Amino acid sequence: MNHEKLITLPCQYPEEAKNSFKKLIFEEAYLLFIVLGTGETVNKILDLATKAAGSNQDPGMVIWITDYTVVSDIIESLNDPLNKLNDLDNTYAFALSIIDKVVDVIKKDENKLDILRIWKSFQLALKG
Amino acid sequence: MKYILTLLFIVCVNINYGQSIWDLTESKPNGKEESIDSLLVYHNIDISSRILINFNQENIRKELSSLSNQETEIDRLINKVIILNELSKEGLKSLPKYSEGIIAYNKSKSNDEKIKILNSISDTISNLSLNLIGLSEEDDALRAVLNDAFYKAISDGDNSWSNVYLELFQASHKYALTLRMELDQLLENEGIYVQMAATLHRISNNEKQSIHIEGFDSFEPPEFYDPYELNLTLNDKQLDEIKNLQKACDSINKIGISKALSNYIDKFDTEIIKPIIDDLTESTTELLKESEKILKQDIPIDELEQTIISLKNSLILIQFELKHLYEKYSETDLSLNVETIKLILKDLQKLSGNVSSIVTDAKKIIKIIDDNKEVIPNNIELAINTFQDSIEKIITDKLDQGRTAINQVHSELTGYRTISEINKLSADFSDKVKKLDLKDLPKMTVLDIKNNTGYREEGDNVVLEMRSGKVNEKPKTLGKEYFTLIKTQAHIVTNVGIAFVKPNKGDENFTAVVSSNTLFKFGTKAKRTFYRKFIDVGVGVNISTLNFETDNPFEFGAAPVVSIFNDYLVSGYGYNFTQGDWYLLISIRVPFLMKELNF
Repeated sequence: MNHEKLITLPCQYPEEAKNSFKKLIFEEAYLLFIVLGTGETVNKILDLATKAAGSNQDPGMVIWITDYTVVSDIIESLNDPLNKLNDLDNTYAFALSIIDKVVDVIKKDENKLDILRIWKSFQLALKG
Repeated sequence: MKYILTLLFIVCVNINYGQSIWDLTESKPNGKEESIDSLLVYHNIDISSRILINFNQENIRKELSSLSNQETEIDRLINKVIILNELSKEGLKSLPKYSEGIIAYNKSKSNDEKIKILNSISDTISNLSLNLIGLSEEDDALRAVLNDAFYKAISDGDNSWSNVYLELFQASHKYALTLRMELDQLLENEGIYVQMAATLHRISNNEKQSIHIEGFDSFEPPEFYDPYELNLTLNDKQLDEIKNLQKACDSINKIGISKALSNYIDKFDTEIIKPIIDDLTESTTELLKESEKILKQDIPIDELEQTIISLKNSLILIQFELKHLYEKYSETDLSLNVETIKLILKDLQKLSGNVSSIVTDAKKIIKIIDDNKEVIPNNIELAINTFQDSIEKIITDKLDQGRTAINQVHSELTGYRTISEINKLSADFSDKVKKLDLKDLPKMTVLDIKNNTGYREEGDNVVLEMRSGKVNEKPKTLGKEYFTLIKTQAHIVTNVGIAFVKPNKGDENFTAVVSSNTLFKFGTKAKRTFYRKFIDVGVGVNISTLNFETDNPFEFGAAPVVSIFNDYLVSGYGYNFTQGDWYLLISIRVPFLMKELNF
């Protein structure tokens, strides 16, 4: 795992987690890949995503939210024109463009979870 | 489906995806290179050019799919190869822009500026990348290749996205090559081959000669010839022309220019116009006879004529007998006694025999007409159709003859073939032209007109043709290009013609003499054929054999001259070195008239 590209939200401290999340979304110019929850598949996704996020020079960044309920109000307020985030319980991860629009969602029923799949999310985020 | 959508995407982002089987570039004698528009099939090129041929491999294979028994499979593979190649090519092309953008993105302190930079660099490369990923969703082998490429990129110490893009696009190109090999094997198994040949078509004598193309044939290139090399000696054709010109000059000087011109017009009328009119008259007379024959066919015209004659004779006889009866009985006492009535009845009975023969003849005529009432309209229709077809044929033949004559005159006057004449030319595919499997088709080759064509002249044509075939099946033309050779560089030409000279001294009129011009020609662009064909200004020297003094057969003079209209008109002011006298000179070049006409 490339830890330089991973930011883990401190969900045990909800306020701090919310502030960090808001800052990352609204104040930083990153292409964000946000991973939700815990478990074996989540660990795999985190591993793939941090590898796919590129070098320190690239705009990709991975955020890990172990308990999304802490920031659910922020997630619900995101620009999601196609309502892709309608079922967070069934979501492993989602990607945000540079202007904080939801561009891709990885659902729990997806079966091809390889690095190319994560790369696709970053490319959709780059496309905007 | 993904491939079709990707193809649409490629078209939308304006990626160069042409249908031509090759891209041609002309490498000129002055070292410049110019791309040849492959949408056109007729090209003017320099006489000493080299044509670089870059094959559009996938378009060639696309053309071949129709020859295969597995057309659908071949098409599927070709489409994949084309799309993957285009994606990788365009991806690699857009990579520097992305890398530069990322450097700017990292240097920038403001978020707004960063957003702006990302937006400006992201569109093309992310679209290409997403299309590639999209294709891999339907192709497990491609997906495995791309995943491997991704890990290769991030494991070699540079995990930047630039490196990932590079590896992914390179991997897709390699994968396309693998598919292409698979495709080539399928085509090879079916015995499908490709061939390419080029042929030089000389305009002066209609001879043709195959041109060696490296890798495609086993022709031996002819001896090197440089058409720009200065050569002041006259060739055999020009020497022959001089002999004819000398005869023509003698005739002109003997009978005078106006009489010679009049003779020429008469000869033109007798030898060209009159045969055309005679031929037309003969054709139309034949046609009328044929139409008449068709009109009469299946109708017993002779029998009808005989019956009508018989009817006519019977009527004359009745008329005569009635007249006789009238005369016989008009003077008789018309008390009509029994004896007289008997006599009249007897005479009338005799007459009725003739009337019945009239009735018989009339019935026969009616029957003939009745029997043929269906045949006649058919014959009329048939005759009209035959007449129309024949007239059309006569007109078409005459138009063809006219076109051929015009083309010949055009060629003689301009030194170039017309488009319709060029269109009839083709490349020769002899046994020395190799049949190549697709896997042996090179990326590029050269049609080296400069080194592999040997002797050639302006106005000659080169035909380049690629075709493909299958064992025991008729080959299919994949591409054909026609080149007209032109001297685009400055050069010197020599030609011979009749000059009309008028000495400065005395009252002598113009006399015809044989002369030779050596002219400097300016360079021009290959596209400006109108200039070369019809204007073609030249400056130089005219050398003439003169006859100012009839007793001296060895007079000669030289004149600085200017030529125009493709050297048909040359004019200058010269000096007779033998007689020491100046003269005015007007020279006309007559390439074909003198060969055929005696004044």
